[in-house]
Amino acid sequence: MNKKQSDTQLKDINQLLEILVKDLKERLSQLDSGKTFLVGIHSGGVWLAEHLHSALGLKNELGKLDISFYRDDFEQKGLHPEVKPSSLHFDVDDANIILVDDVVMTGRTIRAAMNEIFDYGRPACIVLASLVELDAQQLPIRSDICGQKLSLLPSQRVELCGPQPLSIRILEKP
Amino acid sequence: MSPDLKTTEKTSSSQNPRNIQLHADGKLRHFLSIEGLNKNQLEEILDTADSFLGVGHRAIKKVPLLRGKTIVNLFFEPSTRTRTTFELAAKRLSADVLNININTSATTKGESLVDMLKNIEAMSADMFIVRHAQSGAAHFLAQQVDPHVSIINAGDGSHEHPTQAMLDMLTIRKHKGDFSKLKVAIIGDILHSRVARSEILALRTLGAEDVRIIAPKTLLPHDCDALGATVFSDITKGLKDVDVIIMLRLQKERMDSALLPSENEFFQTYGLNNSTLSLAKPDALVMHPGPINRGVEISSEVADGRQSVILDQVNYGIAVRMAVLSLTMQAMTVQGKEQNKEQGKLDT
Amino acid sequence: MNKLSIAIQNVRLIDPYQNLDQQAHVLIENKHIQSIVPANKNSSDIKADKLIDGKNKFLMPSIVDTNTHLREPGFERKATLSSELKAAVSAGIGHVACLPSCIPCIDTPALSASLIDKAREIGASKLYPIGALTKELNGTHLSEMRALSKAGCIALTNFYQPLASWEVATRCYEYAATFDIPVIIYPQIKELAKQGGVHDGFWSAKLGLPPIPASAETIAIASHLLLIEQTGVKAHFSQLSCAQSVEQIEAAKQKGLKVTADVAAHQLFLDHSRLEGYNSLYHLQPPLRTQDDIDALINGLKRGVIDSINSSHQPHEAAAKHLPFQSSESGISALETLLPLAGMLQKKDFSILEIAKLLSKNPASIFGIKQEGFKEGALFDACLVEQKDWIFKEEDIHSAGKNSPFIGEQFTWKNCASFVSGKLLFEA
Repeated sequence: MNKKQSDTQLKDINQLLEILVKDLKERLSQLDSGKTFLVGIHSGGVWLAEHLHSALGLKNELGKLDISFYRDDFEQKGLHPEVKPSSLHFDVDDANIILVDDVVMTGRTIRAAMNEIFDYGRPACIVLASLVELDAQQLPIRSDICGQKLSLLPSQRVELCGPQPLSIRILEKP
Repeated sequence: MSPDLKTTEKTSSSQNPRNIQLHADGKLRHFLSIEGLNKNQLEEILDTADSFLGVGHRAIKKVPLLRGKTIVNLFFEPSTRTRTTFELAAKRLSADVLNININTSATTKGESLVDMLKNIEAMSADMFIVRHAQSGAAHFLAQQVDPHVSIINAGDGSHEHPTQAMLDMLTIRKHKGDFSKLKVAIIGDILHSRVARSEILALRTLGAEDVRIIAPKTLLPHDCDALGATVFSDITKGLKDVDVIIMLRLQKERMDSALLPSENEFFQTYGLNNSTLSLAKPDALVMHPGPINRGVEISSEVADGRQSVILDQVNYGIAVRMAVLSLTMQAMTVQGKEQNKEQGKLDT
Repeated sequence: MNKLSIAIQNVRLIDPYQNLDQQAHVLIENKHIQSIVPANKNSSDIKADKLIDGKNKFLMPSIVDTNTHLREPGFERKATLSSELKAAVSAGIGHVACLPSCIPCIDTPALSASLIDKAREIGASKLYPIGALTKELNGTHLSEMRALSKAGCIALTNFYQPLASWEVATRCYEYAATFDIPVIIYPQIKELAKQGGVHDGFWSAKLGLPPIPASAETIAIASHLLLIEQTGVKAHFSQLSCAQSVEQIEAAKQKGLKVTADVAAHQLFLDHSRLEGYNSLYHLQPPLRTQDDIDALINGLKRGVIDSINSSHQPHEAAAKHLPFQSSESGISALETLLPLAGMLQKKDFSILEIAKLLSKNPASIFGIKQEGFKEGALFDACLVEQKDWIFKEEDIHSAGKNSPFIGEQFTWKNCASFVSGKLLFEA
């Protein structure tokens, strides 16, 4: 637990988005824009990716992933209700992928998303961008770009509401 | 119903197909028949199938959902098409597939059906996909398997072929969207067709406005009310203004059993050609569960024509079967693990 | 034991022979009825070695069941003569006629006689073989009808095995008529019934099961009636299942033909909706039909068009039913539900006396089985039935066949003692 580096108070959504846009812009400048694609993870990650896509004025098509078929908890929870089709309508081989999710917590969703991406092809690199990263990692997966690192009580979780307007809040688990 | 005997009535309804294929929470335990499923349950299958459609177009046509599961194709009737699509569906879900084709006469002589099922079950099978020449065979097997094993009906006698019906529903939904305004005609051997029974039920459950069956009396059951469709004996009346035409395969052996005079007369009277097709709406879909008898139930010009979606059906068949396999298997793995649900969101 | 005197006190005496329904005390001595004393007389005068309290019970002549498959010889895995005759006597059925459907079938006088001997040794219900109408039931060669009759066969039948031609049928009926041997006809046209096991109607259409149309039965009845008229054979139609069949039999009787008919008890209470769920216990021959058919059958019984009720007892080993519906063997284990089901007819306005006539007097007289009812000096042959609500459980089945769809059913009649030819052979 890295409590020292993590905040306990959630920043305002606009503040978080600003940080993210700024850091992403810097990272994108190092990549070949023709081969760089934003990919959001359903549902919060897609909303966030859509926001970033327009805020950054990106031209390349936005990718969407539903990782339901790749989850590691099918045995426990079954299929996620309302599975959406994934759409990656570009050539994944050699692409730079900016993988976007709203909240990164255990890292399991990201593992599933990377597995799914690799079933489409072999990307040149994957960069992980998130609005909030909680210090609850269970896998060696960290955001490369992140609005805020946050530490929560076990009874709390973060929820992104959207798609328009985006808002974020901390919920107490029932 | 017999009002004088109360108790046994309860016993009989407990074996009713409505209950046997569902868990208490309404999730699929087996997939045996369209009968007994509601609109939400059918739509969940279609929605899930829709999500699986993309998998077939990727570099790696596989998702890891059913990794480590063993699925057994238990076919007591020869069928290349259905068995292949089930096999492909299971493999695209990363399950291990075992194909067992049984000559029915061999089982009746020796090992009983239940003994054979139990033997394969003992090899840790998680699911059986069953095709059998007898109506009710899948129901019967579903009553015999262990609690963690599912049965999928891949066609039982003249009863139901629910995955075929669902892939046809997906095809219709993909092309027509909403079911509520649709007039659908099913033409051919309704009497012996498990596909027709499942399709009529699915169409009615999904809210199709008008479901018609078109056939001579020899190819219809005596009590057509049981099927819940409007009966036409004249194809020109039956096809008027329909949005979807589903042709059924006419089995050659029907000619031998005095049900029809000849293939030629059938084609002249009930075959679909450009001129009969023109009676339907101009954008009417033409469907056929295959394999097609060209010149018996459908002309080549129509089968290969602009309105034909016969090849779409084949493609959608894999996605629908992936959906059915994973929805049935999920309920199987989730049951008894309810407590895990209560732990909330493990994963963000 | 034989000299034992038994008194049944305060019992309701149901005697379809004398058309009597009265409270009485019955004294039995040396197998015969010594005296019947009206119940208003003091029963304390009656002295007997054994006293049976008849309160809330009625006494009727033993049931005569003319439609059973006892499985011996040839199908001992399903049941034996011993298991089934003991089950029958416990169910109040003192007289059991068995169909020739065993292997070898009852087409020789030797087998008929040996079955009767064996039954006598078992010492339960009395057995009356029904002989094969054709050799090996093959439908082509006449059996030795007269010899079979002399060896104890009370009637002849080809069961559901088809006769090869109408010519064979004509010869069979002519020959049987020569010796006045009754012929039992199970009316069904094989080509129309095929492999079916379900009424051709709503449920066969819904479940996709091969159907048996009503016409498979009615065409058979119509054709056989013409031959009966022509040959003068004494014919009995067994196991009617259709409304139209009742009309046909009624018309024939009105015309003066020597025909009688029966129905299986379950056919009066179960309709084809039972098949939902493909429960093989409802796989029956003839198939379960519609409520209209049931109503017509019950009405036919009430009006005397149908003469008797029997069990259509077909015990099976578990494996015979543990199969998909179509592969399963047809028939139910029915000895022990015959009386309870018949009792349910009370709800259809049948008196106990009427029911006793259908279960006992009528079948006995059709097939010449000697019964006299309750009069002083007569051989005592009766079952004592208790009227109470009870649930039929699998443990109640003494038959080797446990294939009953009525397990769990609530009934109101229960046999509690059986006397056959003067002997008390069962007491609950």
